[in-house]
Amino acid sequence: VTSLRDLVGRRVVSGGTAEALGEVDGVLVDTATRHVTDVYVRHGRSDTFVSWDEINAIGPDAIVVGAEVSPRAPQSDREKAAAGGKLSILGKGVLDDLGFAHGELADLDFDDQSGAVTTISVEDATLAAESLIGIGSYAVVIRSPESDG
Amino acid sequence: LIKASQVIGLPVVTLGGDDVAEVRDVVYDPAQGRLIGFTLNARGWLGRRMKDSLSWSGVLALGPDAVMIRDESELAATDEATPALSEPPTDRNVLGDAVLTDEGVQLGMVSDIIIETGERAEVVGYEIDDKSGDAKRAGPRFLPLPQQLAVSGDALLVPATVEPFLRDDLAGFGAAVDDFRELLRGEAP
Repeated sequence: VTSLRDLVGRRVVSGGTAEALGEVDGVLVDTATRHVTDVYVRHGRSDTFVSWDEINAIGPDAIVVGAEVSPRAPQSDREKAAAGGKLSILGKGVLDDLGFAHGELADLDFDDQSGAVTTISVEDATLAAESLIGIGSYAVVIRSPESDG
Repeated sequence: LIKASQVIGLPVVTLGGDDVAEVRDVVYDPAQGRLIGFTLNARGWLGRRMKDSLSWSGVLALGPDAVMIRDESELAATDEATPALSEPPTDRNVLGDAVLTDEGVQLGMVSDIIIETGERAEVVGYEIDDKSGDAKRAGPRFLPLPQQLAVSGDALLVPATVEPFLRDDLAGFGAAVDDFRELLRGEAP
Protein backbone atom coordinates (compact mmCIF):
# COMPACT_ATOMS: atom_id res chain seq x y z
CA VAL A 1 0.00 0.00 0.00
CA THR A 2 1.32 3.41 -1.01
CA SER A 3 0.44 6.69 0.60
CA LEU A 4 -0.18 9.52 -1.86
CA ARG A 5 1.45 11.95 0.54
CA ASP A 6 4.65 9.89 0.43
CA LEU A 7 4.44 9.37 -3.32
CA VAL A 8 4.29 13.03 -4.28
CA GLY A 9 7.76 14.24 -5.26
CA ARG A 10 9.09 10.74 -6.01
CA ARG A 11 11.25 10.40 -9.15
CA VAL A 12 9.77 8.86 -12.26
CA VAL A 13 12.31 6.96 -14.33
CA SER A 14 12.11 5.32 -17.74
CA GLY A 15 12.63 1.56 -17.59
CA GLY A 16 14.31 1.67 -21.02
CA THR A 17 16.79 4.52 -20.81
CA ALA A 18 16.93 5.13 -17.03
CA GLU A 19 16.24 8.73 -17.96
CA ALA A 20 14.48 10.80 -15.29
CA LEU A 21 11.09 11.83 -16.66
CA GLY A 22 10.14 14.11 -13.78
CA GLU A 23 8.59 13.71 -10.37
CA VAL A 24 5.14 12.67 -9.17
CA ASP A 25 2.80 15.62 -8.83
CA GLY A 26 -0.40 13.70 -8.15
CA VAL A 27 -2.76 10.95 -9.21
CA LEU A 28 -6.07 10.82 -11.02
CA VAL A 29 -8.68 8.65 -9.33
CA ASP A 30 -11.73 7.17 -11.03
CA THR A 31 -14.26 7.53 -8.24
CA ALA A 32 -16.69 5.08 -9.87
CA THR A 33 -14.23 2.18 -9.61
CA ARG A 34 -12.12 3.78 -6.82
CA HIS A 35 -8.90 3.07 -8.69
CA VAL A 36 -5.93 5.24 -9.53
CA THR A 37 -6.04 5.59 -13.33
CA ASP A 38 -3.09 7.89 -14.02
CA VAL A 39 -0.09 9.41 -12.33
CA TYR A 40 0.77 12.90 -13.30
CA VAL A 41 4.39 13.76 -13.56
CA ARG A 42 5.84 17.21 -13.19
CA HIS A 43 8.59 17.89 -15.68
CA GLY A 44 9.89 21.43 -15.57
CA ARG A 45 6.79 23.56 -15.36
CA SER A 46 4.28 21.31 -17.08
CA ASP A 47 2.35 18.23 -16.03
CA THR A 48 2.38 15.10 -18.16
CA PHE A 49 0.49 11.86 -17.66
CA VAL A 50 1.37 8.21 -17.31
CA SER A 51 -1.42 5.63 -17.24
CA TRP A 52 -1.53 3.18 -14.38
CA ASP A 53 -0.91 0.20 -16.65
CA GLU A 54 2.24 1.82 -18.07
CA ILE A 55 3.91 1.66 -14.66
CA ASN A 56 6.31 -1.25 -14.08
CA ALA A 57 7.08 -0.66 -10.42
CA ILE A 58 6.37 1.70 -7.58
CA GLY A 59 9.52 1.52 -5.49
CA PRO A 60 10.46 3.34 -2.31
CA ASP A 61 12.71 5.74 -4.21
CA ALA A 62 11.36 5.83 -7.75
CA ILE A 63 8.51 4.88 -10.03
CA VAL A 64 9.77 2.93 -13.03
CA VAL A 65 7.68 3.08 -16.19
CA GLY A 66 7.82 0.79 -19.23
CA ALA A 67 10.64 1.17 -21.74
CA GLU A 68 8.35 2.42 -24.50
CA VAL A 69 6.47 4.87 -22.32
CA SER A 70 6.80 8.58 -22.78
CA PRO A 71 4.56 10.73 -20.62
CA ARG A 72 1.81 12.39 -22.65
CA ALA A 73 0.45 15.91 -22.51
CA PRO A 74 -3.00 16.35 -20.94
CA GLN A 75 -5.78 15.53 -23.41
CA SER A 76 -9.21 15.08 -21.84
CA ASP A 77 -10.91 17.91 -19.94
CA ARG A 78 -10.28 15.97 -16.79
CA GLU A 79 -6.56 15.73 -17.48
CA LYS A 80 -6.37 19.41 -18.34
CA ALA A 81 -8.14 20.28 -15.10
CA ALA A 82 -5.69 18.06 -13.23
CA ALA A 83 -2.69 19.64 -14.96
CA GLY A 84 -4.04 23.04 -13.94
CA GLY A 85 -3.95 21.87 -10.34
CA LYS A 86 -7.74 21.85 -9.95
CA LEU A 87 -8.02 18.19 -9.07
CA SER A 88 -5.13 17.95 -6.66
CA ILE A 89 -6.39 15.80 -3.86
CA LEU A 90 -4.19 16.46 -0.84
CA GLY A 91 -5.37 19.38 1.24
CA LYS A 92 -8.65 19.64 -0.66
CA GLY A 93 -11.77 20.45 1.36
CA VAL A 94 -13.98 17.48 2.20
CA LEU A 95 -17.80 17.62 2.07
CA ASP A 96 -20.22 14.81 2.81
CA ASP A 97 -23.36 14.05 0.81
CA LEU A 98 -25.50 15.79 3.44
CA GLY A 99 -23.67 19.08 2.93
CA PHE A 100 -21.44 19.04 6.02
CA ALA A 101 -17.77 20.05 5.76
CA HIS A 102 -15.09 17.77 7.30
CA GLY A 103 -11.86 19.73 7.04
CA GLU A 104 -9.23 18.69 4.52
CA LEU A 105 -8.21 15.47 2.85
CA ALA A 106 -4.95 14.48 4.55
CA ASP A 107 -4.02 11.39 2.54
CA LEU A 108 -5.18 8.65 0.22
CA ASP A 109 -3.73 5.13 0.28
CA PHE A 110 -3.85 2.72 -2.64
CA ASP A 111 -2.67 -0.76 -3.52
CA ASP A 112 0.67 -0.76 -5.42
CA GLN A 113 -0.38 -3.59 -7.71
CA SER A 114 -3.99 -2.89 -8.62
CA GLY A 115 -4.17 0.84 -7.97
CA ALA A 116 -7.30 0.26 -5.88
CA VAL A 117 -7.84 2.96 -3.29
CA THR A 118 -7.80 1.30 0.13
CA THR A 119 -8.39 4.12 2.60
CA ILE A 120 -8.67 7.89 2.73
CA SER A 121 -7.62 10.06 5.66
CA VAL A 122 -9.80 13.01 6.54
CA GLU A 123 -8.33 15.12 9.28
CA ASP A 124 -7.73 12.58 12.08
CA ALA A 125 -10.03 9.84 10.80
CA THR A 126 -9.23 7.02 8.40
CA LEU A 127 -12.16 6.02 6.21
CA ALA A 128 -12.74 3.02 3.98
CA ALA A 129 -12.44 3.62 0.25
CA GLU A 130 -16.18 2.94 -0.08
CA SER A 131 -16.94 6.29 1.54
CA LEU A 132 -15.35 8.14 -1.39
CA ILE A 133 -17.99 9.50 -3.79
CA GLY A 134 -16.34 12.20 -5.87
CA ILE A 135 -13.24 14.30 -6.43
CA GLY A 136 -13.90 17.61 -8.13
CA SER A 137 -12.54 21.08 -8.56
CA TYR A 138 -14.19 22.27 -5.36
CA ALA A 139 -14.20 19.38 -2.93
CA VAL A 140 -13.72 15.71 -2.20
CA VAL A 141 -17.18 14.29 -1.51
CA ILE A 142 -17.60 11.43 0.96
CA ARG A 143 -20.58 9.49 2.21
CA SER A 144 -21.87 11.00 5.41
CA PRO A 145 -21.01 9.03 8.54
CA GLU A 146 -24.72 9.44 9.35
CA SER A 147 -26.33 8.46 6.05
CA ASP A 148 -27.51 4.88 5.66
CA GLY A 149 -25.58 2.38 3.60
CA LEU B 1 -32.46 23.42 11.55
CA ILE B 2 -30.92 26.13 9.43
CA LYS B 3 -31.70 29.79 8.89
CA ALA B 4 -32.50 30.97 5.37
CA SER B 5 -29.97 33.79 5.75
CA GLN B 6 -27.27 31.16 6.32
CA VAL B 7 -28.24 29.33 3.14
CA ILE B 8 -27.68 32.37 0.93
CA GLY B 9 -24.18 32.19 -0.51
CA LEU B 10 -23.73 28.45 0.11
CA PRO B 11 -22.03 26.64 -2.78
CA VAL B 12 -24.11 24.21 -4.84
CA VAL B 13 -21.86 21.15 -5.14
CA THR B 14 -22.26 17.99 -7.23
CA LEU B 15 -21.47 14.55 -5.87
CA GLY B 16 -18.50 14.72 -8.25
CA GLY B 17 -17.09 17.53 -6.12
CA ASP B 18 -17.58 20.48 -8.49
CA ASP B 19 -19.15 23.74 -7.34
CA VAL B 20 -21.55 24.71 -10.09
CA ALA B 21 -23.36 27.69 -8.54
CA GLU B 22 -24.14 29.39 -5.29
CA VAL B 23 -27.44 30.20 -3.63
CA ARG B 24 -28.70 33.67 -4.47
CA ASP B 25 -32.03 33.42 -2.71
CA VAL B 26 -34.30 30.92 -1.01
CA VAL B 27 -37.75 30.61 -2.60
CA TYR B 28 -40.55 29.13 -0.58
CA ASP B 29 -44.29 28.99 -0.28
CA PRO B 30 -45.34 30.71 2.96
CA ALA B 31 -48.86 29.32 2.95
CA GLN B 32 -47.71 25.70 2.68
CA GLY B 33 -44.49 26.21 4.60
CA ARG B 34 -42.56 24.33 1.93
CA LEU B 35 -39.30 25.22 0.28
CA ILE B 36 -39.66 25.49 -3.50
CA GLY B 37 -36.04 25.96 -4.48
CA PHE B 38 -33.22 28.39 -4.99
CA THR B 39 -32.28 31.11 -7.41
CA LEU B 40 -28.58 31.02 -8.19
CA ASN B 41 -25.51 33.14 -8.73
CA ALA B 42 -22.46 32.07 -10.64
CA ARG B 43 -19.51 31.15 -8.42
CA GLY B 44 -16.69 33.56 -7.78
CA TRP B 45 -16.62 37.01 -6.38
CA LEU B 46 -18.11 38.65 -9.41
CA GLY B 47 -20.86 36.03 -9.48
CA ARG B 48 -23.74 37.29 -11.57
CA ARG B 49 -27.24 36.00 -11.41
CA MET B 50 -27.57 32.76 -13.38
CA LYS B 51 -30.47 32.00 -15.72
CA ASP B 52 -30.62 28.60 -14.12
CA SER B 53 -32.34 27.85 -10.88
CA LEU B 54 -32.59 24.78 -8.70
CA SER B 55 -35.88 23.31 -7.58
CA TRP B 56 -36.04 21.46 -4.28
CA SER B 57 -36.75 18.15 -6.00
CA GLY B 58 -33.23 18.30 -7.47
CA VAL B 59 -31.55 18.77 -4.10
CA LEU B 60 -30.00 15.75 -2.39
CA ALA B 61 -29.24 17.57 0.85
CA LEU B 62 -29.15 21.03 2.32
CA GLY B 63 -26.33 21.16 4.86
CA PRO B 64 -24.64 23.93 6.81
CA ASP B 65 -21.71 24.01 4.37
CA ALA B 66 -23.18 23.18 0.96
CA VAL B 67 -26.27 22.36 -1.08
CA MET B 68 -25.61 18.92 -2.55
CA ILE B 69 -26.97 17.87 -5.96
CA ARG B 70 -26.36 14.78 -8.07
CA ASP B 71 -24.92 16.58 -11.09
CA GLU B 72 -25.17 19.77 -13.08
CA SER B 73 -28.22 18.55 -14.98
CA GLU B 74 -30.33 19.32 -11.89
CA LEU B 75 -30.01 23.00 -12.69
CA ALA B 76 -32.80 24.12 -15.00
CA ALA B 77 -33.49 27.34 -16.80
CA THR B 78 -35.78 29.34 -14.54
CA ASP B 79 -38.55 29.65 -17.13
CA GLU B 80 -38.81 25.92 -17.49
CA ALA B 81 -38.46 25.17 -13.80
CA THR B 82 -41.36 25.34 -11.38
CA PRO B 83 -43.23 28.52 -12.35
CA ALA B 84 -42.96 29.64 -8.73
CA LEU B 85 -39.21 30.04 -9.11
CA SER B 86 -39.61 32.64 -11.83
CA GLU B 87 -42.21 34.71 -10.01
CA PRO B 88 -40.95 38.00 -8.63
CA PRO B 89 -39.51 37.25 -5.21
CA THR B 90 -41.39 40.17 -3.63
CA ASP B 91 -44.61 38.16 -3.93
CA ARG B 92 -43.25 35.62 -1.54
CA ASN B 93 -41.14 37.70 0.70
CA VAL B 94 -42.27 37.52 4.31
CA LEU B 95 -39.22 39.24 5.78
CA GLY B 96 -40.37 42.36 7.57
CA ASP B 97 -43.99 41.20 7.73
CA ALA B 98 -45.78 41.59 11.04
CA VAL B 99 -46.75 38.46 12.95
CA LEU B 100 -50.15 38.76 14.62
CA THR B 101 -51.93 36.28 16.84
CA ASP B 102 -55.56 35.47 16.14
CA GLU B 103 -56.34 37.52 19.23
CA GLY B 104 -54.81 40.60 17.61
CA VAL B 105 -51.51 40.79 19.49
CA GLN B 106 -48.45 41.65 17.43
CA LEU B 107 -45.54 39.34 18.33
CA GLY B 108 -42.94 41.03 16.14
CA MET B 109 -41.60 41.27 12.62
CA VAL B 110 -40.19 38.35 10.64
CA SER B 111 -36.40 38.68 10.42
CA ASP B 112 -35.42 35.21 9.25
CA ILE B 113 -36.86 31.87 8.23
CA ILE B 114 -36.04 28.60 10.01
CA ILE B 115 -35.87 25.55 7.76
CA GLU B 116 -35.95 21.96 8.91
CA THR B 117 -33.60 20.22 6.51
CA GLY B 118 -34.27 16.69 5.38
CA GLU B 119 -36.39 15.36 2.59
CA ARG B 120 -39.34 17.73 2.92
CA ALA B 121 -37.35 20.90 3.69
CA GLU B 122 -40.15 22.36 5.69
CA VAL B 123 -40.22 25.90 6.98
CA VAL B 124 -40.94 25.26 10.65
CA GLY B 125 -40.54 28.69 12.15
CA TYR B 126 -39.66 32.33 11.91
CA GLU B 127 -37.10 34.37 13.70
CA ILE B 128 -38.96 37.47 14.84
CA ASP B 129 -37.68 40.78 16.07
CA ASP B 130 -39.85 42.85 18.32
CA LYS B 131 -39.09 46.41 17.37
CA SER B 132 -42.23 47.81 18.98
CA GLY B 133 -40.30 49.24 21.90
CA ASP B 134 -40.52 46.63 24.65
CA ALA B 135 -37.15 47.41 26.22
CA LYS B 136 -37.08 44.20 28.27
CA ARG B 137 -36.71 42.10 25.15
CA ALA B 138 -33.30 42.04 23.59
CA GLY B 139 -32.52 39.96 20.53
CA PRO B 140 -34.72 37.88 18.32
CA ARG B 141 -37.13 35.13 19.34
CA PHE B 142 -38.04 31.98 17.47
CA LEU B 143 -41.67 31.32 16.60
CA PRO B 144 -42.89 27.81 15.73
CA LEU B 145 -45.29 27.71 12.76
CA PRO B 146 -48.38 25.62 12.30
CA GLN B 147 -48.36 23.47 9.17
CA GLN B 148 -50.83 25.79 7.44
CA LEU B 149 -50.74 29.54 7.76
CA ALA B 150 -52.79 32.54 6.69
CA VAL B 151 -50.52 34.96 4.85
CA SER B 152 -51.66 38.20 3.28
CA GLY B 153 -48.52 40.04 2.26
CA ASP B 154 -49.18 42.49 5.11
CA ALA B 155 -49.31 40.16 8.03
CA LEU B 156 -49.10 36.56 9.14
CA LEU B 157 -51.74 35.22 11.47
CA VAL B 158 -50.81 32.57 14.03
CA PRO B 159 -52.86 31.00 16.86
CA ALA B 160 -52.45 32.81 20.19
CA THR B 161 -51.67 29.43 21.76
CA VAL B 162 -48.20 29.69 20.20
CA GLU B 163 -46.96 32.14 22.83
CA PRO B 164 -45.67 29.60 25.37
CA PHE B 165 -43.69 27.95 22.57
CA LEU B 166 -41.63 31.01 21.64
CA ARG B 167 -37.93 30.39 22.25
CA ASP B 168 -34.94 32.67 22.74
CA ASP B 169 -32.49 30.42 20.93
CA LEU B 170 -32.48 27.62 18.39
CA ALA B 171 -31.40 24.98 20.90
CA GLY B 172 -34.54 23.06 21.71
CA PHE B 173 -36.54 24.92 19.09
CA GLY B 174 -37.20 21.73 17.13
CA ALA B 175 -38.90 20.24 20.17
CA ALA B 176 -40.95 23.42 20.63
CA VAL B 177 -42.19 23.10 17.04
CA ASP B 178 -43.18 19.48 17.62
CA ASP B 179 -44.94 20.28 20.90
CA PHE B 180 -46.84 23.20 19.38
CA ARG B 181 -48.02 21.14 16.41
CA GLU B 182 -48.99 18.33 18.75
CA LEU B 183 -51.14 20.81 20.67
CA LEU B 184 -52.81 22.05 17.47
CA ARG B 185 -53.58 18.49 16.40
CA GLY B 186 -55.14 17.87 19.79
CA GLU B 187 -57.44 20.88 19.34
CA ALA B 188 -58.50 19.95 15.82
CA PRO B 189 -62.09 18.65 15.63
